[in-house]
Amino acid sequence: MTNTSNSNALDEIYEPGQIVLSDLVNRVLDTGVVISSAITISIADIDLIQLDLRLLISSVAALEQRNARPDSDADVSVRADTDA
Amino acid sequence: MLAPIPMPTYLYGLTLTRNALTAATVSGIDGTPARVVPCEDLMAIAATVRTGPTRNVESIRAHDHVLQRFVDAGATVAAARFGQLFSDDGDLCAYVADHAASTRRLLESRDGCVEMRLLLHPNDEPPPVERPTTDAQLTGPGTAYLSALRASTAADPRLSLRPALAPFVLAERVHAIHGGWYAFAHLVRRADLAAYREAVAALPAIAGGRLEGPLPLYSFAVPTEASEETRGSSDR
Repeated sequence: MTNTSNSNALDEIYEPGQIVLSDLVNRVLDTGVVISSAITISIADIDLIQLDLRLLISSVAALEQRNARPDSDADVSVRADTDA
Repeated sequence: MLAPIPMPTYLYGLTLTRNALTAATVSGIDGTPARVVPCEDLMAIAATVRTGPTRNVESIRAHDHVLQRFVDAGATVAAARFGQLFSDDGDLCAYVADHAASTRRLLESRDGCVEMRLLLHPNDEPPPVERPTTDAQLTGPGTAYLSALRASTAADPRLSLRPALAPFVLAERVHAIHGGWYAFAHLVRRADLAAYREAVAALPAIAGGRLEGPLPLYSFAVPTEASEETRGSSDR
C-alpha cells in the first residue's frame, strides 16, 4: 500500500490483512438481506476493533495512539436498521 | 418447575430448498451449531443463540464462516445482514414469508452464482507505460477505464471494472473501504469462475490488489437494477 506524507496514523498501519478484514466487516455489517424490522446488536466495551459508519478498523494499540490526538474518535457507532 | 428460558433464533442467510445441502456441522456465533429451518420453499440458515450477537471481530467472522461453509458445499446463499434475531423459528419463518416472493425470485435469478470481491487501491503507483507498437495494441475501453482509475486521486462513484471483465461479470457493486481502498463486488456464475480469475490476472492494473471468493451473496443479496445484469437464464 502506498503511504504518503499526508497519510494519517491509521493508513500507516493498514496492512493488506487488515484490508481483507475491513472488507469482511464491511460486507457483513453493511450488506445482505434484511427481513427483520430491527437489528439487535449488543456492544462490548473492550472490543479489539473500533467501528464507525465508515468502517474504520484499528487495533487497540493504534486506538490508544489516536486517543492522544485531539480529534480522536473513540466512540463506537451503532446503527439500527428499520427497513425490511 | 422453572419455565424454560426462551432462546432466540439468529438468522445467517437464506437459500432455496433444493440448495440446502446437508453441510457438516458448523459452529457459528458463540459456538452454537448452525442449522437449516424450512420456511415454505425457502431455507433459512439459522441458529439458536443465548443472546444477540456482540459486534466484534469474532462474531462477524463467525457469521461469515457459517455462510461460507454452505457456499463451499455448492449452495447459492443470500447472506442476511448481521444481527437479525427472532423470538423463535416460527417468528423467523413468519418474517421470511413476508419476503418470500421477492427472495425466491432473487435466489432463482442468482442460482449457480457466487460473489467475488476484488480489493483495490486506485492510487497505487501505475505500471510502466507500454507504448503500443501496432494499432492493435492501442488502449481499449477496458484499459482506459483502468487508466482513469489509477489517475484518480479522489473517490469516483463511477468506478467500474465490469467493461474489462465482461462477459464473466453479471453485475457489479463498488464499495469504498477505509484508506482509499475499494471493493469491487462481482456477481459471477460458478461455471465462469476459472475464466473470471484468468481475466482478472490478465489485467495489469490489478497488481497489488486482492481477490476474495467465492463468497456468499452479500452485495447481491438484494435486487439490483435490471440494467446492471445480463441474466443469461437461457443458457443455464
